[in-house]
Amino acid sequence: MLIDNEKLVGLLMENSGLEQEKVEKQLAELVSDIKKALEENEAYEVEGFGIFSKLGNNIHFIPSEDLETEINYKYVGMEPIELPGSGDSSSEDSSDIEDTIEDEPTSEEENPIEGLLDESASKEYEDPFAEIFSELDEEESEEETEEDTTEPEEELEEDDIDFSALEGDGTAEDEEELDDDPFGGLEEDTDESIEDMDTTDESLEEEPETEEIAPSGEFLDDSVFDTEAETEEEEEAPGPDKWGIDAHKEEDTENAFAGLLGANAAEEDSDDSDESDEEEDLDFSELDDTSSDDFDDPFDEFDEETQEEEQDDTLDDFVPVVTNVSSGKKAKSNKKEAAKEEEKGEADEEAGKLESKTPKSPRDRKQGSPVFLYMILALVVLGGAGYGLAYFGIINIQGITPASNTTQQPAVAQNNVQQTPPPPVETPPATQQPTATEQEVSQSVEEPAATTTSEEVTNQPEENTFTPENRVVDTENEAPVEAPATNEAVEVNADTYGLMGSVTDAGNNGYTIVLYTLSRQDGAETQYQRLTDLGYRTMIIERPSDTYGVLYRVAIGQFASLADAAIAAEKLDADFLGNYLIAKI
Amino acid sequence: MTKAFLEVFVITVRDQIIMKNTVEVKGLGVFKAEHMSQQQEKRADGTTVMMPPKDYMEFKADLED
Repeated sequence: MLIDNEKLVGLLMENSGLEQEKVEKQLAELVSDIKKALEENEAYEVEGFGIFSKLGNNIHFIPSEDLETEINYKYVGMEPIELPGSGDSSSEDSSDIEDTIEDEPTSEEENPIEGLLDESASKEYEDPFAEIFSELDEEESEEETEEDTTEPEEELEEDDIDFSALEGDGTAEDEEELDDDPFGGLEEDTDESIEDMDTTDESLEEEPETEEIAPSGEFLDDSVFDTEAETEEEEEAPGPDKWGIDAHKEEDTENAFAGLLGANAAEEDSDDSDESDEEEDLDFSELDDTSSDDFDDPFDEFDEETQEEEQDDTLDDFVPVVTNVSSGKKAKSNKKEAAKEEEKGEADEEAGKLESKTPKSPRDRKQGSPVFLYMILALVVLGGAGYGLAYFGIINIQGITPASNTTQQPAVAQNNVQQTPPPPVETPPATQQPTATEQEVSQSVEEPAATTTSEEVTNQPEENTFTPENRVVDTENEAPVEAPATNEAVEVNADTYGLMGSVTDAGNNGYTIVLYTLSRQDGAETQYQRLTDLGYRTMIIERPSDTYGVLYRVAIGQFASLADAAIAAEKLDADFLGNYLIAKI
Repeated sequence: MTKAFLEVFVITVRDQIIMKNTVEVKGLGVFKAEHMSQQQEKRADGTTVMMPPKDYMEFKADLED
């Protein structure tokens, strides 16, 4: 439909809300500006519309990309598809097609396929099925001449159906009419979209006209499919319908490739006619995918199956992929992953550097432990060496050095001490007279003590619970008290220290083993006599006590050190084991 | 001529072209919607490709002036 200047002004008035005068004025101003610029050999650009430029005497208009896209919105995204068997095989196929077309009686003088194959393709192609449609076209052209009064001459010249009027209807019947065209599937979309637009389409108001045409369209559609099915079965020509949609039904190019359509394409078209818009879109996408599968199939399956594995594997090993349309992206993705890995590696290296800068690392900590162990071993060795030295008498360590090795040294010391011995107040046991008030404290192993009082029981636990260590403490505390109370000084020629034999004065600065502590002197003397008879170096030590008065300790042996006394005590008879204490003399 | 008018002009002409209408601007020319059907093209490398259909706008200048 032609929108002349008056209609254009009316539309502009509706859309802008301006008055007619203003619209006309501004439109004239726009035209004058464009002409003025063109006269000056300058291009004039209308933003969002295009550029007007002058080439010679002609005015050339270059639409903007946005406008081109909006106008061509139905076919946006479609790309040229390489036909299978193109090149050498295409010439053979085309020759076959030419033969079949030549055999067909055509009402037109030009063969459109020849023009295509000779690369001298013009925009207008003759319908190879013009004969088939000739009768229908004649009928419809007559109707169209009656119905469409706006462009009757064009319709007759093009000798085809007025699809511009049919497109405005947007009914299913119209779709069926257009199904013989491979891109007719999009017509419904466009029609609906056009209906949705807030524009004034006068063609939409002409529905009665299209409704009248509809029945003929149905008849035409059926007849077309019948004829196409017959011809396609005979010809079996490969179909170029890779997009799976019908192209816009244009008068001069209608059915230009109908002869090229294969049986499958015809079937798909016939199926598409019964399907909804969405289904047709899906068919388009499916067919589009299938067309792209010519390039993708060998690698897409492999890529899909091994995509995750590759994502992991390519991290370590980059596997080169044969590049094609689809794998190029994959290769790019692999390269990107490899680049990411490199970046990660660099980041790890940097992190490693940072970690190496840290003062302590696990390795350093592990390296420190052997040194510590070496130090411990050195200490153990030194300790062992010291123990050995002490054991063999090289170094005198009490408790370690055997008494046999230490006897001589303390003996020397004792001898030195003996040079100035305090005159002990020795009272022979026989001369000591027990008093009547004297209380005797006896130990559990003490046999006599018939005269013991009840107080001796209270002292027994103290002495019986003594351990050797306690004994040492006790002896050290008691030593100053007991030292002056020694009664022994018998044999001068005997050994200074020892368990057996006779008491020596020189040995009074050492240690002794106390076997009994008695409150009565006669009891002590009895034990003293018994032990002496057994050969022990026996002595009676008087110890004053605040509670019990004077206590009498019956002790055996003279030892230079506490260790010697302990060793000797372990060798006592079973009667004395566990019932003694070691005290300093 | 305001910018708003230009926008309305562009939208109006575009819509009419999309609806396959021909728009005549007096003194300037005629904007016409054209459709190019799918067609085969033989490339220089010997391959034959099927070009998709395309809707485009054609401008025919008014050369009366």
